[in-house]
Amino acid sequence: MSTPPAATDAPPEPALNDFEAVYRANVAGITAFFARRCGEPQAVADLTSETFVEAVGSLRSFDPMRGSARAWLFGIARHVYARHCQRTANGNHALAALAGHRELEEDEVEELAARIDDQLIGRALLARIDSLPELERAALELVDLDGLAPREAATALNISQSALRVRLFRARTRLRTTEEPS
Amino acid sequence: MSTFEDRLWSELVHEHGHQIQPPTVGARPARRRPALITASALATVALATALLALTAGTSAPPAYAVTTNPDGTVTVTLNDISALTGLNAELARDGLRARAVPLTASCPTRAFPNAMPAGTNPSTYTITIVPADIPTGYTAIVAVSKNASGQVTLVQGAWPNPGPSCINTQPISIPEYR
Repeated sequence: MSTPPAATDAPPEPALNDFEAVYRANVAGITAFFARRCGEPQAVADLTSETFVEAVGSLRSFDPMRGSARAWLFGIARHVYARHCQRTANGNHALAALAGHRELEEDEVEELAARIDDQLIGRALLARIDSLPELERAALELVDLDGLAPREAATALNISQSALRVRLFRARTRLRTTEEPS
Repeated sequence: MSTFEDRLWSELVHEHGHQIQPPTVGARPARRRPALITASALATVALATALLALTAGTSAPPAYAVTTNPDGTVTVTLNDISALTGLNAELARDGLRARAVPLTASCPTRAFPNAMPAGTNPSTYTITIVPADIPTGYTAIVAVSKNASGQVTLVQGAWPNPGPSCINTQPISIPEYR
């Protein structure tokens, strides 16, 4: 990890407070997003950390008129997870993990393991929609599992609200169809 | 806040906090949004929240109160969850773009899934609204609920106008697709 900043680089109080409010309002949701995908507490911790580090780095690019901070953070989380999958596919996961992560304390491992368990329903739904097109799957997850408003999900996916609604409708329809008994 | 979340926050501040810089007012071209607005609005737009919880006291405090502070912020106090109508009328009279709405399991609008326990004062039931942080076109929404223990919670965030009339924090369940 990077070298801690010097004391003179301490963040200004108002900006820090603003970002802390955003962090505390969204960290549980972002953690759940990764807990739904990863069975390892360390991976959940690393990806959640990576998301907020990236958010800090791109804070100035955030425009509230384009969408909520929650939508912005979930957009970042999706990119972070995509990179994680790419690293895993390339066989670089272990190397990247060794280079980046903070070793978790035992109580944190227990806590994150519980959160992974809490995502049982979410994981089941993800498994069931695995065959859907990517955008439909993402729309369904962001709205129905992560609780984003459709306009927030549209922002996170960088698509229009009407496109989001179409994807959502199709995904729900396909899901209902596959659930109908033969 | 959990152990993991607290430690992660400490780590973020320690290693990356220097990147959270204040806005540079006036240093940008006119067509660009001043960083001050972006940074300050961030907390509100983004579901920036404070959750205050308390157990109702034995005395009989006023059902609600709206107090404008010297720094321009507005402190909202709500002791009786049934007083939302009166509270909203008071907010409207004060010209605030803010509204209190119920947090219920039956509401179709899903949001605020990550309410944060932050109550530190057991004798007040308040939340502070910063009018300057409410972006143009948005309304500050204070979501109100009461748990099984009788504790009342307030969660604040900003929504594009007109904002929801209620908020639901319950995630959808798989049986809904059947």
